[in-house]
Amino acid sequence: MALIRSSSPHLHNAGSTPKIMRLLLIAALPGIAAMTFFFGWGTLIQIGWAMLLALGFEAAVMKLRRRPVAFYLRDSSALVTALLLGLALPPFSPWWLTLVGVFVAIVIAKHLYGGLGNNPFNPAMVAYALLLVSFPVDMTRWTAPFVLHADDGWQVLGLIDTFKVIFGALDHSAIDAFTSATPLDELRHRGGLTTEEAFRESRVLADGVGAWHAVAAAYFMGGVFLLYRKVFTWHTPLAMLGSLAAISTLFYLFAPDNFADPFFHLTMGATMLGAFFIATDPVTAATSNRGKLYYGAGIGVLVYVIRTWGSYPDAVAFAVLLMNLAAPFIDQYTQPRTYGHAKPKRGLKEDA
Amino acid sequence: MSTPYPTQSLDSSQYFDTFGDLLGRPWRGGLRLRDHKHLSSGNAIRPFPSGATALAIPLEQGRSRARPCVEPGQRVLKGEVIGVGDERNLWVHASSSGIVKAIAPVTVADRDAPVQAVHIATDGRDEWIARPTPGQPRTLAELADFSMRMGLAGLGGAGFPTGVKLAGAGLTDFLLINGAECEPFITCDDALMRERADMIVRAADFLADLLGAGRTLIGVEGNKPEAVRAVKQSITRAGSRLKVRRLPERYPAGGQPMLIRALCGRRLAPGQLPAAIGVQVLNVASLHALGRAVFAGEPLINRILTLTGSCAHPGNIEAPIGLAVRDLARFAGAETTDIHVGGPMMGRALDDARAVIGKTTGCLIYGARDWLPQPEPAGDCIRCNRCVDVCPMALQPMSLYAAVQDGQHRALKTLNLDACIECGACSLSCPARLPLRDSFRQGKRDLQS
Repeated sequence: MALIRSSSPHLHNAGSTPKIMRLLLIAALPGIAAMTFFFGWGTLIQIGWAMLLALGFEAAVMKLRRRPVAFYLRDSSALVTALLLGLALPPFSPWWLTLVGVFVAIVIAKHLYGGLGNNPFNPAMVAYALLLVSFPVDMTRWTAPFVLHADDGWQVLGLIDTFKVIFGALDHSAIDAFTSATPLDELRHRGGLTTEEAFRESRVLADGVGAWHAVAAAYFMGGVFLLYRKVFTWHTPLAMLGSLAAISTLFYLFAPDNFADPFFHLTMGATMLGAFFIATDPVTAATSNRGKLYYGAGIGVLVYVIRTWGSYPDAVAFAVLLMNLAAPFIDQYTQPRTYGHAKPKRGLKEDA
Repeated sequence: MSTPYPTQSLDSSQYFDTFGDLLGRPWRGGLRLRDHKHLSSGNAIRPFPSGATALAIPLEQGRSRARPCVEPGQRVLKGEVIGVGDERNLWVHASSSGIVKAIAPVTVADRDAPVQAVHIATDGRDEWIARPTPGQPRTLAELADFSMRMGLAGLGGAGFPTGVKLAGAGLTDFLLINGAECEPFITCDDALMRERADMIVRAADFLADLLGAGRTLIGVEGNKPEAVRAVKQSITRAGSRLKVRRLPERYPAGGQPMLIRALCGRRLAPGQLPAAIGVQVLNVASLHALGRAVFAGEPLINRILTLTGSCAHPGNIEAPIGLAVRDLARFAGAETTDIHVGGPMMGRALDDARAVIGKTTGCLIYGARDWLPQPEPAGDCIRCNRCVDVCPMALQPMSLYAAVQDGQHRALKTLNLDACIECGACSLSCPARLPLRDSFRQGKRDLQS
């Protein structure tokens, strides 16, 4: 007998926690494919390495906490964290960077706070932010999309060489041809140029930007799939993308020479990954639907503010962490009204 | 068969919950459930064949306790009073003729603790006591008293004495009849409406007159078109003021606060009785029983219940109260002892094989393992908010669960635990498989103690 009520096409059962996590992994496949196509084998190696580490750390912590290891490994939440970190790290980042990142994510950000469901901050983003602050050089050396160094055909650093680079057998200076700054970085360090000039002068901005567009589109596809499968509701992604689009449109209309256009903001950096895979992490987000709108909108605005006036090129990790911090507060003020009660309970008033 | 039941989903309108009020949905949350009603809805209601058997008729019904007035060895007739009640306690009647064997405890299929019962060995003749055509009750007070004497209890689930409910009626604007039957598998109310709509309509008009109710509405879930048609035809024949309203197929459409909101737009505050907002709600089977009592002088000694799941002859059966579940299994052609009592959402597993049918036993699902989700080990809450989204009372099950676990009684009150109607939508939608509803029942007990 089919598990799906045949008369209604949109009535899928989102199912258990392990199933939700597996759906997330599946939904990231287009993004992984796009990253690999444009930036080479590094992404795949990072994800695999991060997943191995995550499973190891998760098992070790569960052992220490005297919990059933197999049961908790089956929920795949560690794999999702590893996946997000693997996607966010530069494809050629060295093995120890990933190791530190996964350790921080799984052991410190997740389990020291009580494990799945109790962590106030998104583990992958804690790790990313920590790495970015501690190892800025390694974290900003991004891979050049293949479209920049080949006029014809698909040419990326070979699989074996990529392994060698990541695990230290090949020096980074040997592969300088394969690295470049990201578009967000280029635009931030454009010197005295206007945005229009920067788009003409910089190779990444002029020719390479399409790679990022395609990756964003792939994440977007995965996000729509997750929405369709009701893994999360539309509120957070729509609010985040909406507020980012709104604020960037406002500044772009006001001064197009100084500010990037809204499409650029929506498709560059981790915007789409963040909107559909990071901000939607239920554990660290606001819970009610109205709360999710505020939460998502907050992330969108913060992303723009930090990208434009902050000292880091991308801002999704910081924006998500800051809104993680605000989520319990948002929850206090956005709980729905209990049926039959005249007023919703708001804030921290102790009236009971 | 592999577990086909747990198919459920957020209602599609859930996605637009933010705008629910604008879209005019009467109540939020709820679940679409795979209803499995076709399993048992095909056949007409069958009577349980009379024949010598053993009955154990419970003297207790919820908080109502009757005093036994028969002794072992005594012969009783069908419909004879065997337990005396008063204005708060229901009278109890023999469901068939036979010899009283003992007065001893028995387990009722849908209740926890064993209750006192009159055990009768029937003679198979099913001989009625002389039924004097009762002078119809002419006032509400008379009807309330009459209902207690006829042993009328709410047949929808809670088993609250109809007489007590009617005695508490104030000015009544709306008489609402609950024909939602929103639980999957159960079709006994559906069958009743299809086959005995005339009696339901007649009883509704009679009761509405006594209550002085301005409007009488019957709510039926949209998945019972035949029942809707039958009731409408009876209304036309009788020239009744009763109006039929289709309810959305969304569990728990038959929950009292949801039904009231959907039918007459009023909001029932937690802890409030419907009478306080000028509403009376009666289950369609309770109303039918009231009609039989008033117009035919029959006390409540039978009930229609659904036999479904893995059995050779599923369907609805009119069975005497006090019949052993084991006798029913033979009738249904079921071999399994793995039985679920009541609907999959609100019901429970049957653990005492010697249990009997009580007035509130509405459904037996045979082969529960094949049909219902089996308990899975609970994980950790990931705050996904699904429980909040599906809660028809707009509670926050995830916060309540944490508060129950930590024994924070004050938080339980702030979070309105008392408003929980225990529909179980949260438990079913929880991806971590947390026993939310069970913990709320526990929390309510903790608060009382």
